[in-house]
Amino acid sequence: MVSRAASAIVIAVGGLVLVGWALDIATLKSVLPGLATMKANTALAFILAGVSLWLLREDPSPRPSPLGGEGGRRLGEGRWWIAQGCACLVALLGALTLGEHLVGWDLGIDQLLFSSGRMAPATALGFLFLGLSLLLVAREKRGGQSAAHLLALGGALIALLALVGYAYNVQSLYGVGFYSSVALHTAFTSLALGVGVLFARPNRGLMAVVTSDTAGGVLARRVLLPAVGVPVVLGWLRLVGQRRGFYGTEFGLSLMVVSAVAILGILIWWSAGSLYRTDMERRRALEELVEREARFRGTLEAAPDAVIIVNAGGRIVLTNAQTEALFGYKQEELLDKPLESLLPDRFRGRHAEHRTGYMSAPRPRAMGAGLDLYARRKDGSEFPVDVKLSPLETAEGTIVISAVRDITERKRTEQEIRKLNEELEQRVIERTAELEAANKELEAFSYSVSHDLRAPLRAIDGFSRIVVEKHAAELPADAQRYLGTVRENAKQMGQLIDDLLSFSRLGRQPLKIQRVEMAGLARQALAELRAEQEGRRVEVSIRDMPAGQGDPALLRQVLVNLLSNALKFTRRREAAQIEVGCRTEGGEPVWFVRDNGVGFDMRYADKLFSVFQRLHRPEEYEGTGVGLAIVQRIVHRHGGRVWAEADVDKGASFYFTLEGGSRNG
Amino acid sequence: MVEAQVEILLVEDNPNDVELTLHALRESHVTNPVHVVRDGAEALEFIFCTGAYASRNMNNTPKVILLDLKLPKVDGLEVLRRVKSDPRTAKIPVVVLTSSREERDIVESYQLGVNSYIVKPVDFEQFTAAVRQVGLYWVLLNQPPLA
Repeated sequence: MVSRAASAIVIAVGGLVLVGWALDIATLKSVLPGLATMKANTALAFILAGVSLWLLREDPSPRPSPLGGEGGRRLGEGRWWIAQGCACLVALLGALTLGEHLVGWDLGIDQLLFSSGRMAPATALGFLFLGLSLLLVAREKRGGQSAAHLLALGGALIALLALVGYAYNVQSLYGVGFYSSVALHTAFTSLALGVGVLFARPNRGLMAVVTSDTAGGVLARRVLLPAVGVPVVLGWLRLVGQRRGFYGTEFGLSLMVVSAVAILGILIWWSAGSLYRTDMERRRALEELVEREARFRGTLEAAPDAVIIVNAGGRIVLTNAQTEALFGYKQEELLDKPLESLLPDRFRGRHAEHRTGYMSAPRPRAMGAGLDLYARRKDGSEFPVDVKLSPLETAEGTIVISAVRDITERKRTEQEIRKLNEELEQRVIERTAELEAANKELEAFSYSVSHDLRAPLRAIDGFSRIVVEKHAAELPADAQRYLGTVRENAKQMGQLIDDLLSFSRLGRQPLKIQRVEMAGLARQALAELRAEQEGRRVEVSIRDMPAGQGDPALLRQVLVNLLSNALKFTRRREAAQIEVGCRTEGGEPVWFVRDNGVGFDMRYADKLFSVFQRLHRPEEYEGTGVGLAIVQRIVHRHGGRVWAEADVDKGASFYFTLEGGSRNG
Repeated sequence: MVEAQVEILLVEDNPNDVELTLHALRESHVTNPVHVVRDGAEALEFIFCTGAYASRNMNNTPKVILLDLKLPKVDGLEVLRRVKSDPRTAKIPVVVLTSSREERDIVESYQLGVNSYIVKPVDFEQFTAAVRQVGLYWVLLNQPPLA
């Protein structure tokens, strides 16, 4: 912007002065009457320099568009050559004129356009500097920019001196010698040109410092302009005061120096203060950063796992000490290596694919869930690992933090557990086989009991009977009664054996669970016990009952035993009353068999269901004491409960439940 | 010489049971000739006319075989299997008369083709009744096929 404005001003001034020479307008040639004129060559050089500066301007886009970018340079090829040509001419014009002044030649270039005279040596030197500066700026070389800026500064300072001369009205400065005829607008335009060249490439060379957003840039921008302006203004004020006779030379000088010191000192102190604050802030931020870095590092090192941080390209950015310990690599050996170098060869290709896939949709997760993962140490050995991944968005793109854990120990433990399990299973199998063998043995035992124990009893009973039948006449009455007792006992023992066998069989038979109509079952059981009802008054009421779930044969046995008991213990009643039914307790059906028999003392209720336990004397009520034990065993095998309620002489009630209760009530 | 006709073959190792069975048959007035063998091997020799019974006529088959299961040498189920698997003897009615109430004995006997399975009661009256009924039914009432 500055550069463009400068080039526009320079071209305009040069053009106007040429017009002035052509049309002989004094104002355009020297600004004020009596002042030195700007020569035609000077005006021409300004136009050339202005064109060069205009062409050097940078395009708004940092890179040339594809259509216009074939030149390889930042400017278009043609533009660049024209700019160089113009700059070259400016430098040449300055050099030749300077040569004329120094050596005393007359090359005839001064009257080239108009007979306006030769430009001042200071102007010529300025053009030499500025022309060279423009040449260097266009070359875009490193270092060249700094030289260009120095040359431009030189040109600008020469012009500034002339301007100051005009300001202070120093005749000697512009009127004689080196500065003899520098025109006012020549000096001003040269200064503008110098500034324009400085701003042609504001981000490079010496200007880089000035335009930067660093503390140095701030200082340069704040101090440079006052450093130029303050002494100039103070010098002018001093001169004016001195000329008006306010003070002498010595006091004027002192005043100026002190004022300059004060103003510049204040300016510098003020700038330094703001720089100080900025710097303190920066330091604090740095310290914070260092501390944060240390904390992060500490966290990283304190992590129980090997932490490996990988960038989007799969290269290792950061690791921790655990990584060194686990993999045997030094941290610096791993930096910038592909993550795959920590894997066994056979997984590398596949892993790179997986990694690319992960990067397309990164989220925290365990890696290769359900897969056996292996890593590879520096020495080539492998070990099983568990890997957890978590992505992190940073200024440099996505990075992935992977926590790697050596699970050799865990694997070993798992293996051990598996082995123990297998052993346990084997032991269970063996134990089961042993149990089965024991069961078989028991079966064989009861088989032989059922066979061999009954035969002698049959013989005892049979032969006693034959004795009684065949030899009744020879036997006294009590001998016959004794033989009767022998037979009674043999039969009792036969019954005991039968009951015991069926009791032991109950534990072995598998249950055949099905829906059972309990009322129908009760009727069957009652029919089976017909013999025990003969010649008696028995009133049996079988109520409506829900069906149960159970083994029908076994449940029938339950009802037979309970009804048989009921019939037995009501024997002495004139009219036996027996009720079979069901009631619901807590949503669970409870079946019962109730009688009005002799009942029993509830104190002995807990003995009722034990094998061979009897609450009555055998001569009162016969029995083996197995019936209720069988009932209990069957009910328990169904997962149910059985209990009794009774009162002496007021009857007894037996209750039982079945697991699962009734279906469709 | 004309062989005595054997109508009932009693296979029973227990001498008490033999005597009680014979007693029961007598009491029931089943007077048909009874032959007693005391183990499974002898039973097979008698039935198939081998060994000690080699001179017996194979066609002279008993009307019924009363077979105990628990026998020395060859057990009752084996005797049953041999009798029922040989076409010459398969038609002879076999009644198992045993102390065993075991379900598997009953099932296996029926699978082998037993004609009847009776558990010997301990009670002598019941025992006598059972023997009487078997005798009456199989010897007197039952009509076997002719030869």
